[in-house]
Amino acid sequence: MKVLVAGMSNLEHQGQQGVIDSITSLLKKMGVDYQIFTDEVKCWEATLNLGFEDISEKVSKEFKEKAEATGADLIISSFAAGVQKWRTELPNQYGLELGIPYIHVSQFIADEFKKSSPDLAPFPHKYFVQHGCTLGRKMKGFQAIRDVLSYVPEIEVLEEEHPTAELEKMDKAEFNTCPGSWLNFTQPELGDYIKENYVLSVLAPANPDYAGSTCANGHYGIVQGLEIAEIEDIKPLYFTELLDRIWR
Amino acid sequence: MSEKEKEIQKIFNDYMAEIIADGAENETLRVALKRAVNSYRGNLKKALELFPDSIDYKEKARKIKEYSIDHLEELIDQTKKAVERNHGVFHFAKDADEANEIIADIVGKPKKTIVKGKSLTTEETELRQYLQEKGHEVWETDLGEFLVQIRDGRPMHMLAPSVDLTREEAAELISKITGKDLPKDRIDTSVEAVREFLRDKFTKADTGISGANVIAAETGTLFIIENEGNIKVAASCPDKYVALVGVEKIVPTLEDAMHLVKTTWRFANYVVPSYVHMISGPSKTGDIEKTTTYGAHGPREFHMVLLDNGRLDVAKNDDFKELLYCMKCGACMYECPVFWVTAGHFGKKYPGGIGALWDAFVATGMEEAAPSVYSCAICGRCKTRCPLNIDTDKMIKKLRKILYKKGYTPAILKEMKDTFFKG
Repeated sequence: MKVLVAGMSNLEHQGQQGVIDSITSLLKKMGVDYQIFTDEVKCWEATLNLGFEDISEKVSKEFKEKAEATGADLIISSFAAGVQKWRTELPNQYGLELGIPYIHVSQFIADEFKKSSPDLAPFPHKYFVQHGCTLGRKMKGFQAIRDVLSYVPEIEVLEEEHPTAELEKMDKAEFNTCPGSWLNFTQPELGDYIKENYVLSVLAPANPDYAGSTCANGHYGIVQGLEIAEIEDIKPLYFTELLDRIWR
Repeated sequence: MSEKEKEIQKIFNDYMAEIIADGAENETLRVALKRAVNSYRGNLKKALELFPDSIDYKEKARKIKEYSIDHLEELIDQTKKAVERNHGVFHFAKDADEANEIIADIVGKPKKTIVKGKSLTTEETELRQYLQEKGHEVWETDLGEFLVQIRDGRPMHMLAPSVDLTREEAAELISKITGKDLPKDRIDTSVEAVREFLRDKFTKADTGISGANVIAAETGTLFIIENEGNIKVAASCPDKYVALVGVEKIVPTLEDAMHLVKTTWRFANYVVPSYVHMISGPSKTGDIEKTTTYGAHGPREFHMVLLDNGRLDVAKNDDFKELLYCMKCGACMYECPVFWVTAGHFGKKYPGGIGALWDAFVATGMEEAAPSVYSCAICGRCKTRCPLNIDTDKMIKKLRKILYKKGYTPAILKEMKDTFFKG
């Protein structure tokens, strides 16, 4: 099975080299035949969110053509938006279907771990998971990351608590706070609020050693937020970085 | 950049300046909002523990709204007949200006005293300002709205208009208008001072004005939820009582109305509100010879002004009619990251992501609403919280397509498009 890795150019643009390196390193360690999608259309998903209707169909088609031309059997990405767009929006809006399954990297790793349990070193730390809004809230993709982290010996996984989630018969991750990564895109002046309303309100009270989001955009928000808040006790760590670090 | 583009950019720049200066750089706002969110979540938890069936209310509430919005014109007609049958006066206002003119006619010659209850619909039409310009003395009587009035601000939340004020700031404002030196660290003394100040206005008032949470078409009955008791007095003491209500508030029956009222208050932060008023007409008595005589102790005149202002068009638009399901409980805003980030400066007349849609289609028009529409993080947390399960982010994305076609997209996004997608 040949795996095409999407979203790497955006990770590079954000300066998330650690995430890029850990994904490729993990895929190698897992023995996956993979290819980085080097000439994918940047931010094509954003055209759908921002209403650029004159080009959104065109760039989505371009993504499809380029992806299918690679001969890959599966596409994976650390960003959830592309997964969601091909699952619901593009088929509904333009009748566009991608000829290759497209899943989030957490789902891919969870599936691979089910086939063959990894040998991981203990990680005796508290790790806070932020479930990305698209992957978590919109696609109900909470379980894959929980499954993946369940293979990590001695880890203590923390998640955002919400006082009414249980009463409302919802997964607590449905209420997960956005760490504010979108602000970097439009309103960087409001960084103080990321600090106050995510890092200090949500992350710090949980008192984790490490924190990461399932979504690469969310993770970028966490990295920024911790930096703005000048918090050094909590280290940002994407889950692929964590796995790569303890892989034996 | 064309003149039109410059104009659009100015709207965005003003918005950015406002949310940064009034929001991001304001330390006290953060304190106030944090207190409000924690308090909201705690109260909702209490309400859901006491009344776990609230969760099941939501589905039925949504069905009632779906039916009502699909049968709006029929329900307006039914409401009119019921109000007239009850010896009330029914008015229909096509837009905000017409609503204000109708109400000014009802109020009469200048120099009248008017007491108002909190109402987003009157904010939409800017009724208080309109009546003040006509020479009337108008008082907002809800405490939060009173604070908005005395600081010449705008409501920051659907139900808690002064959610952005700390107790210290509130005490300072109230001290100024009442001439009392109120302690800054106490809330009760501020509340007492306003109570005393407004008592006089209530007794002098010629007209009381409020909105309503729901209208039952079959009886023409207004349902109004409140805690302070100000609407109780405003709708009882003056000779005239006027309710300005958006047409989307109508539902078919009294039972439907009560169901929505209960759903609203549960998710609006109350275990149970102190008051739920049902008002169907002017005050009356039949105590002498069983002959109905109007104008007993309460208002002699009852006026219901139904406001369209774009709502009927939205009701026919399958892409956006869901926005009319909003009961204005304000629950979504306590979970909205942008409401936090912009310190409540998210939305123009109607706050929040759902407010951006209301602004665009009803209150301000698309050009003014554009900055709020592009502020939404489309994270969908509001939908999770909304008792009506309103898919705000889906509508926001659809609206952005319209704004883009109309040229209301901010320059930074246009530049991104041009950079990334040349050719």
